[in-house]
Amino acid sequence: MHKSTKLLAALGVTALALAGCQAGGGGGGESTDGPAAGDAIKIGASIPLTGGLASFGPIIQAGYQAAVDDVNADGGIVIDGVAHPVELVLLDNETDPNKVADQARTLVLNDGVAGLLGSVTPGLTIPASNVADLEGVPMVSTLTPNGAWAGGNPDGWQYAWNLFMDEQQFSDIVYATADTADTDKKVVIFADTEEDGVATGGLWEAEAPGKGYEVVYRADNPAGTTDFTADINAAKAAGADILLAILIPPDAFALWEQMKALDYVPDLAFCLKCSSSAAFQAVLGDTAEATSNVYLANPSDAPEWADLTAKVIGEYGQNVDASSVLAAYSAARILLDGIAAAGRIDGAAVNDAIAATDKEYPIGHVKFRADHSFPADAATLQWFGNTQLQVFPADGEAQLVTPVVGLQQ
Amino acid sequence: MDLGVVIAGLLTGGLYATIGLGLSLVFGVMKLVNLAHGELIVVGAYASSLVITWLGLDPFLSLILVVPVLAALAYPVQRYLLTGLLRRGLEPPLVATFGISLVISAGLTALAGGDPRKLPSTYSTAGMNLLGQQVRVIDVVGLGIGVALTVLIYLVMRHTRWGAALRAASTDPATAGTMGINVNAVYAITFAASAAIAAIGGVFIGTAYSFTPTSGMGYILIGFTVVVLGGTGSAWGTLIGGLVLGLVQSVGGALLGGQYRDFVIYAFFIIVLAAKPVAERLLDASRNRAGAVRQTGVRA
Repeated sequence: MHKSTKLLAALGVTALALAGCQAGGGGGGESTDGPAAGDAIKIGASIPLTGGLASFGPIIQAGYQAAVDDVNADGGIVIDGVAHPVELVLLDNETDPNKVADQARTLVLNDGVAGLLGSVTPGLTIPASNVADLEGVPMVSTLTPNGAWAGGNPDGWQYAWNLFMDEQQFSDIVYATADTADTDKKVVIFADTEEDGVATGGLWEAEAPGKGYEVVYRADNPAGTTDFTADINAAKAAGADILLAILIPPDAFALWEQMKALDYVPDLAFCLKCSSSAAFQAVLGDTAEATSNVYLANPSDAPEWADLTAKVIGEYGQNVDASSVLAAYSAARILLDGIAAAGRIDGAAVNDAIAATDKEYPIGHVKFRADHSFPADAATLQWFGNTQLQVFPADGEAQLVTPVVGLQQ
Repeated sequence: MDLGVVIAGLLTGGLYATIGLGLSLVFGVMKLVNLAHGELIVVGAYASSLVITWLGLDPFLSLILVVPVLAALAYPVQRYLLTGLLRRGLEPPLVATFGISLVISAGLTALAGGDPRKLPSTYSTAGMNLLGQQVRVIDVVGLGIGVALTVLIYLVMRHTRWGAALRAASTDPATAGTMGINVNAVYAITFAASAAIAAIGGVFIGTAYSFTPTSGMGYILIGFTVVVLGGTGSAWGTLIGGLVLGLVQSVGGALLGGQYRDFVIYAFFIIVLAAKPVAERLLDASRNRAGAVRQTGVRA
């Protein structure tokens, strides 16, 4: 390489590095009070569009985008008397926790987002929450159990907020639902070793005796496990009528098919996280019939959200995907309402406005607790064809079906 | 620990052997580490999904179309890209196959989305009794596929002219070239055969489990472990490597708990890597001693 070429290359690299530093230090060149006239206010998220949790990515993307579209249709967000459109920036983290933090940092430092939206599950949401706290940029997330998320920062989150269900609700409702069925009160637990699997699996086991149940077998497997033969045979031998699972979807597909092949048909089978997207039924077909799930209860019946709810259910069907879209919509609207209420894009001001949230959203009437989480109402849903209906607490939609008929040969 | 754990491990091992066979073949002949092998497996599954949608065939019947198509697509990749890069050392083709893996993964995501898929079949949920243990029919089929492919590769390598040409090109490509063997064509056919094996593995995985555009990475890790355990370029060694890996995983999970399943196989992998040279030295020393004793006997 010629000397002059080397020099040019070095200059180029230096210039690029300086440009990166400038973008980082200046939050994308925007003032913290407000964007320049005509500029869009950016919000962003690192979400799983590929990888093990890919079935959730397009769902939360749709919810976030719908909220942004609605705000833009209403004229955008007014700051200092000037209306600004909102732009959503999304990056695919490939379900890789290591990429989430990098991408969240990129969104803040390079794209200059005024706020972050969450991913899904504690494994992906916690790294982004850490970035929010470190950079002083507010973030609102959902589809992440509150307890495991709060446990991600024992000192307490400062700029991160989460709206979903508590693990305690998962435990209370599965046993309350099982109380309404005629079972031998013997439980088998299948949990993965992700944060929510460990937290929820542990709670199910710890609380069983107090609720009158006995955990006869527990299988903890790393995400990505495809062979459950030995565990299923052990559960079958132990005679468990109730199966509680919290797994990523691909692992659950394998478990459900193997249960059917090995002729293990429990009276009740809960699949949390795994059957929290319509992909569960789309992939498993009839095998999914009568599988239960604990998820967000029917959405808010407030008149202001009736049109949105009807539109989403019309598009996604009566199942968890519609609930997830509405939850993601709620998270994005809370962030955007916070920016609007603050009247500027300064992180601390927006954060204070989010803290003061006390309003009806599709996910329910949101008022955050001291640990920055909001516990939405939970319900037990069961798959009937490609529809998921609430069976507990009973709301007249459907009655609990036992055993899990989809697992019968 | 019961017999069921051992049987489950061996059945899983059949799949692991199928994953390792294609990698072993390519590495054994060309010393090429194909980092795109996992993605070739996934392409096989997606191609089968496409054929099933179009023609309504059974997943395994779709192999009639999927296998030759994937082999035909793989042939020019080796012939006109990787073979040229091999002449520049081992690193360029390594990087190239990594690039191919990224392109395939991104392409599949763009075309098919990131949602998990499964190939529809009735037998993926069918069970049967094997030695008193309830097992999945599809897992027995998986073991059968692994064994059948091993036997087929062995027979082709040992008892056909193409096998002889392949062994010659593998041992000494320069000399093989002077003997009239088209080494470049042999390399390309080997890579195509490896892609065909990957397609078979992909259809099996798609039927028994599920797949996404990014599933390939997990399979390549398993494939490398099998190849290193079983020895490169040996079909029987790969089968044994696959079965041992499945067995260690299943028994380790049963003894220590499922959460240590991955830890067990990679700990075992490291122990084998560390112990292999020592065992080979001991074996050589033992052979040398036996040879010396025989020579002494002849003199006497």
